[in-house]
Parts: sequence; structure tokens; C-alpha cells
Amino acid sequence: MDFSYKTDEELVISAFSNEDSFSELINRYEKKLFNYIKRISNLSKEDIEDILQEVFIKVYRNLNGFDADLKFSSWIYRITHNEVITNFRKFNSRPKFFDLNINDDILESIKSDFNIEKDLDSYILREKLKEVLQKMDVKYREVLILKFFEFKDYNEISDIIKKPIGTVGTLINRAKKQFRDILIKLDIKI
Amino acid sequence: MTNIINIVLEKIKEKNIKPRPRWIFVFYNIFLWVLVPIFIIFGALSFSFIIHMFISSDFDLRDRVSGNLFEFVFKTMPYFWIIILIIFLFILYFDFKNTKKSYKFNFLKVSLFGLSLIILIGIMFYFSGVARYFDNNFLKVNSYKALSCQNLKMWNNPEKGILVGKFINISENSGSFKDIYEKNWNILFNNDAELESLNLDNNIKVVGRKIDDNNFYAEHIREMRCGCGMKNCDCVNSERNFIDKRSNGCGIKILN
Repeated sequence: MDFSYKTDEELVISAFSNEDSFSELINRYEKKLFNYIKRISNLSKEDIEDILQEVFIKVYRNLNGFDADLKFSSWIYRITHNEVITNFRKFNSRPKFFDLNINDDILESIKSDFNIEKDLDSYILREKLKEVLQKMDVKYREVLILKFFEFKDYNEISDIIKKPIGTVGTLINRAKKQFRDILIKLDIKI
Repeated sequence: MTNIINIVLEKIKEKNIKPRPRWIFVFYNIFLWVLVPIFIIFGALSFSFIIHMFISSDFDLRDRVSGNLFEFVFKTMPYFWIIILIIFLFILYFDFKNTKKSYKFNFLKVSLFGLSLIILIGIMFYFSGVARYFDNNFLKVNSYKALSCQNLKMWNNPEKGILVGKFINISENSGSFKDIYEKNWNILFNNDAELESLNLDNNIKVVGRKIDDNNFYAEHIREMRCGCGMKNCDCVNSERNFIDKRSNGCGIKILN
């Protein structure tokens, strides 16, 4: 069955009666969410997969609670975000190091937003950016990851982390400031 | 990557997981929103009790019972209702926070709005007599009385011109009075007009000056909040039960 023409929201409605619709939702999000969890948690592959299973089971159990005013992607990212935080609490620790995969799209987005010199070596820049992100406060790193790595807009970030849009704007501005300050400390030309 | 789709679908079948019915989500959200005004009303009621107790605490007499205003406020603070108000505010906060769209609102603005509403409705409750009515009824419950009337003894200070206790009997210009330490006093007063409006079965505050160890001259006589309770006291637990034309039958014997 071809689901490509169906939106996520349509799939949610048909998921009650059609198992394949729910499979398609998992298919659409498993890779994205795997990367997102990896970026914010630095857990092992096995642990991430365990969290992912929990997330999809929660999604299934709460299909009727899906608020049509939200985007499905915001809703599933919120569930994932909460599940990762629950996992941090369970083991009483947050990671200090992250294995951030910065692809070309992400790199370009960061370069243009922070006016980083275009001729800077990409490999060096990637390494420096990882270092910068690791040095950032968790609350700032999380919003920057949602904005620059997951390409979410302010509205979506607001729905995911359950904060007012104004607060999201403030968080992103402060995150950018901290990002720039650390860039300067690491002597990266901007 | 492991085949997550199959694992998840198998788990769903194996554990027979079903989507929760829609009515649970609808009911839960309505329930949370219904609780918001209820706890605003409860908060306002608590606030009106706090106003009522502050106003009942006779600020004009503070110099007679404590050294400074701060000490007086500290001693007469209605801690019981302040704690109750804080508990209601916490419940209100967590209730609102769990509603679906609460995160869209600015926390500071919503908090200020909620607090203003509680203060405004609380003031309305106070002026409409709701606080006094409930307080008087609650005072019939001994445990409430014990919690909210802790400061009775601090008022009894004959040297500074205050006695707290009850009249045993009253004649034309004097009365027998037993203070809260069970000491008997002969109270002298020029006119008993003030007594007309009081329920003398309640605890009474006599303000004036000590003449000697047994006699006290009364300048003012006031009813205390923590007496037997109601203005129209029904005297159910009163030791004295004389017919009295001046105090709604609540126990003061008139000696002519």
C-alpha cells in the first residue's frame, strides 16, 4: 500500500484500524528520532533503540490524545524529549560528551546564521562546533539542536519543550550568545 | 539498525496494548480546567480569612502587647490560613501546568493574573461577610480553634492595661471577670453602653488600667474573635445559662 501521499495526521486517523498506517509512521520517524535522541543524550545504540520502542508504544497508546492543533512531528518529538529526560532522571545523570554528526546542511545553516567565515576548513569547523556545543548549558544546547539540527521553527520548538514562544525566542537568543562567546574563546573567526 | 517496526508491533500484540479511549483524554482535560476556578475560589476564601484575622487583631493595641510593629505582626500572623493559601496556590499551579495549552501562556503574566484574581475575590469575600461567617462556624470545631487561636494568652497583660477572659456577672457600673489564667477581677466602668453590642459569652478583651491586684478600670470592652464563635452564640457548651436580655440569652447574669 502506498502511503506516500498521506500526511502524518491522516496516518494517525487510519492507524486505529490499519496496522500498516502505524508502521508507516514508525518508518517516517525512526531515523529522525534516533538521530535526535543521539544528539541530546549520547546514549548507546541499544539504549536509543529501547527509548525509541518506548516512544512508539506511547504514541500508539495515546493516539486518541493527539491534539490536532499540533503538528504530529511536534507531538512525537515532545514524547521523545520527555522520554529522554525520564531516562536521564532514572539514571540520575546527563551526558557530558556528544557524538554530533554535523552534515553539510547543518554546517551551512550554522555558518550563515552565525556569519562564520566561508573559507574556514569544514573539517576543523565541524570539530570546533562539536567542542562549542559540548561546552554549552544543556537548556541552550537543546534548543540549538532543535533549531539547527532538526530544523524546527519557533512554534514547533515551543510545542516540543512546552514553553511559550517568547521564552523559546529568549532561549535561542541566549543560546546564540553563549555559542558566540565560546566560539570567540576557541578563537574561531566570525 | 534493528527492525524497530517489527519489534514495536510485536510488543503491541504481545502485551495487547490498545489506544486509550478518547473520553479519558477529554475528561482529564476538562477536569483540570474545572479545578482552576475551584482553586481560585478556595485561594480567595483563604485570603479573605487572612484579611479577616489581620483586621480582627486590634492593631491599635499593639503597643500594649509587644515592643514593635514587626514583633506584633509576627505574633498575630494568621499562619494557619497563610499555609492553607500557599497549599492552594501550589495545587493551582500544578493543576494549570498540566492543562493542555498552559505552556503557551507567559508564566509571570498568568501568575500575576491568578494572584490578582484571588486577592480581588478575597477582598469581596471579606467585605460581603463570607470570611466572618465561615470563620465563626469553623470556630465551633475545637481543632480549628486550637490551630487558629494560638495568640490568646499574649493579650492578657494587666500591667499594660489589657485583660482577656469572660464576665461572670455584671451590675450597673462593674462586673466580675475571670481572666484566662482563672484570676478573678472586679471590672469598673462608667457606662455599659459598649456591652450592649457584645456577646458576653465570648472571650472579652477589656482595655483600660489596673487599679490594684483585684480591681481594673475598663476604658473599652471588646469581643475577641476566638470566643465561643458566633455573634448569636447558641451557648450549647456554655457553663452558664442564665436568661439575659442583653446578650441574646447567652449567659451573663445581671445583678441589679
